[in-house]
Amino acid sequence: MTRFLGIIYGSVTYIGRRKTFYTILAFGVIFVLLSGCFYSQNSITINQQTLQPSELIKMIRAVNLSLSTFWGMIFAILMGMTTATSEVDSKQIYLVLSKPITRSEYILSRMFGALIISFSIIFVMSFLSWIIYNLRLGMFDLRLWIGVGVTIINLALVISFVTLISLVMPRILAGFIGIISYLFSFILSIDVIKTFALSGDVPIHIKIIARIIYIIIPPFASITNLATNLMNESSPGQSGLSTMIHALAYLIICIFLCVIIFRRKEF
Amino acid sequence: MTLIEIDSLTKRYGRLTALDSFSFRLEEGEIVGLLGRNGAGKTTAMKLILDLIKPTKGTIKIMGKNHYNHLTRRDIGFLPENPALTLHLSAINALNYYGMLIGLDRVARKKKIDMLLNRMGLYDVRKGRISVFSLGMQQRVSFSQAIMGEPKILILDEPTSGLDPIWRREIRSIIREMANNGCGVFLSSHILAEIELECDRAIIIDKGKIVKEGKIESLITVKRQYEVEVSEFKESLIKKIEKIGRVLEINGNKLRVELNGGFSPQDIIDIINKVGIDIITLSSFKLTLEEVFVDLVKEKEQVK
Repeated sequence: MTRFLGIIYGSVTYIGRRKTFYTILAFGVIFVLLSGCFYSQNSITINQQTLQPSELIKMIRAVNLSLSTFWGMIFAILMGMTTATSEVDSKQIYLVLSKPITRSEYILSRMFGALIISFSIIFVMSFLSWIIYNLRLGMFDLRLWIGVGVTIINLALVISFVTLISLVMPRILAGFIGIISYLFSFILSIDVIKTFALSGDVPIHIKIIARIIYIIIPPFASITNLATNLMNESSPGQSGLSTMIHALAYLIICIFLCVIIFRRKEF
Repeated sequence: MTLIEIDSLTKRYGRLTALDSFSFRLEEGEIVGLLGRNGAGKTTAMKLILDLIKPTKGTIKIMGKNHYNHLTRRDIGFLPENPALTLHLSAINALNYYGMLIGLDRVARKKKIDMLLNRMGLYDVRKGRISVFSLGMQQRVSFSQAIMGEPKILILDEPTSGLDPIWRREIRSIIREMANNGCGVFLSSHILAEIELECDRAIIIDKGKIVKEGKIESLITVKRQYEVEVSEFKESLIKKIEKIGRVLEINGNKLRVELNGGFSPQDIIDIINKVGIDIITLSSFKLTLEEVFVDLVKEKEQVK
């Protein structure tokens, strides 16, 4: 356990002393503070429709979660790029792996460290926005934290996915693929596209390719949608559960492959 | 007790053979030096022992166990060629980090870190970032992490690089102290005088192959060559000696003699006594380790 904590300590202190971390955090805090300006009224008119307080709060929660998740995910992609490679490039890995730790312990602890740091960004941003909207709207709403909790799965997913790619490709490319996959998962989650690609009037080979793409691209958007739904409804529903199973299966496969590849690596 | 047992270890990178049938044993309390030119395979051998790279062929046993078992590294302290430390941390935090990786608990870590910082002259700068330390200071932090877990085996790649003469001597004395307590030390250095001074045994490798190995004394002693100092020099002495060998060098009253097969140093003593002069000293002729190393490498190149 001490050894496991040691590697996490190493990862957290490494990032904790980097200007990049504080710059990203500072921008995130600025975004949250700026978004607070919009909570000055109890109702808001969008497209000539007035949103009532109950709908307004749903929208505010969703916007806050999306903002902090997006920012946290960008940082998590950066973290995933360096999780398995930074100590290899600086040759610090020689000292770490000369200690009585297994390579599996090393890579898992590094990913866990990256998860803690990335989550800290989402936590700080969510906490600030939660304080602001509760104060501005004069209420005590805890449902934002359900969404924040679900977001941890997304963070773990992006870190393990980018780490896996960085183990087989240059890390810049891994980061690029991470960002593209993140954006692509949102495009794929649009109902019209999904329906057309999977069950529309298209040739069978297109359907097969579409099905493969839906399996390969990590379900980032589905988890974000699930988090939003869970904040507003109490039950995840059938599709929520299948999204969760899909994401967890994807996560386990990524972690498993990371461990297998890292154990075979030579330094 | 045998601490490291390596048998026919080979490492190939495509067509390049970095290490070729390397076999070696490290016994308790022994200091073994590994000599070789750049790219000779020294670091490869060390990386293989630490399971940082996988062998193409051969086996490594650490205290009787397969080296793939990560728990064997509990007994190993390693110092890499360049102090690849966590530069963003202070000396005290870096040692705390490495102590955690070894698995020391909080109390043991604190005690050990204080002791090491004091011994390595780093206590006053313990809160300073390693990135601003001089190379010598970084090397001392790196050496501290290597000996932190009181290992039974020390693997040191250029342990005194970047250190001033005072700290070189101090590190050497710590290495000797550990060896006296039963620790086996396997080190490489480009400073051959240091290996000659500190090691019990040396292995010379070139292009991945062991070209010579043995006790330092036997490596530097040239077979059948003797240095004789006499009370006075006489021409007749040379003629008589040439019946049993060759006089290679005359320097005042000192002669370097190479004996032919079948003759012993006693024959030199007998001849000198017959000539009627006194022997002041008679000893085996020795080269420095550096001379042995250079001769071996040149010899190998000439053969090619």
